Amino acid sequence: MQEQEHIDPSLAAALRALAEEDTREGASNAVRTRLLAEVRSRGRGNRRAGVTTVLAVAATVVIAVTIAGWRVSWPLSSGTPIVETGGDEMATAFFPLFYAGVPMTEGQIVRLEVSSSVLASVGIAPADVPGDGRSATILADVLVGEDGLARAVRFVRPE
Amino acid sequence: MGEDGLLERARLGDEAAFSELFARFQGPIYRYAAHMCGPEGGDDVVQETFLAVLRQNGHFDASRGTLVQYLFGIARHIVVRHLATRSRTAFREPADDEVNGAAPASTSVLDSLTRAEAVDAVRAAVQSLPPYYREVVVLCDLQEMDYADAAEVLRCPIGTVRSRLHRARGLLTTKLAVLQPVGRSVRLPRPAEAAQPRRRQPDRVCQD
Repeated sequence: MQEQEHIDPSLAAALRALAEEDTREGASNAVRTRLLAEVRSRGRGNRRAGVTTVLAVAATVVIAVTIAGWRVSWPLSSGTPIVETGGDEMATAFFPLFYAGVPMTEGQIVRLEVSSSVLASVGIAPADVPGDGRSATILADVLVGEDGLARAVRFVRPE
Repeated sequence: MGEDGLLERARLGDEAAFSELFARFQGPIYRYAAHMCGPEGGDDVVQETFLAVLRQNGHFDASRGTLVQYLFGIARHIVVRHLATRSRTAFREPADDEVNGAAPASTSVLDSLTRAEAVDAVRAAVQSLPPYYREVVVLCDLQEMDYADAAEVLRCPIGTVRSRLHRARGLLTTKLAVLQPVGRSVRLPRPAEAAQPRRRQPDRVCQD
């Protein structure tokens, strides 16, 4: 307690006793339960928002890939290098996209399933992609910078 | 983890972070609210305060104040609203004729009471203070909040906190000085009765 020099000692002692007595007092469990429900609800909301963000990024990426098809030219009619990504899959090398020149300090790889027609739009022949090239869809790993811009893409086939 | 980190994680839905935050602050906020609004108001104020905290994304700036100041600032806002809604209690400094003067009375009578009696007597005396004075006693004397924090919560200069506390303690002393222990029963006078703190009035003491 503060500045006890200005307070009657009996009053100070009584206030201290009241404060000690009160330390047992607190909000009911019902309040805690209701508030925890609110926290859970916010957690679910944030997770939904996260999924929405990923989907929005994915949509952006698909658009970027499509646009990049006619903004970036690559001599890829054949001989596209194939690399192992580790695990049970094979992938092409990364192909730079429209925003490849924008500096980035960190990024994430977002895996998408895209139509095989995207291959043609970026100038890749189906034969250049691991696998049989006849599937309607293909997996794509897109490198997205911290600013949400897609920098590069590679195509993946599970073995 | 720092308090602002706890707050941020709680807002994102981290139950463990919220539980820790709640455990640290619910008690002091409850007790402040219960002294200001009555025990039935304590739960309401705690719930509304933490809901506001969870929903006010980004309103806490650690560089501008402590989390205690932030939380109590919200709680006080809710308390003032509750008081205004429930009893139209004016949250202002009472005029001199609305309260007892801070007579230099003695509270030595408290020494003759048991601890439980003294606690009850002081609780009742605190309750009988006008809200304007009660909250500074609750914050500084009961919650042991330092004057700088109290000044931030009350949005007034530290000097005002000191003077208000001095006045409030004087009022408490006056109210408690008129107590008389009879058996194990004590009743505090009403504010009007306490205007004559030195006068002994045996008929105002409950007889068991």
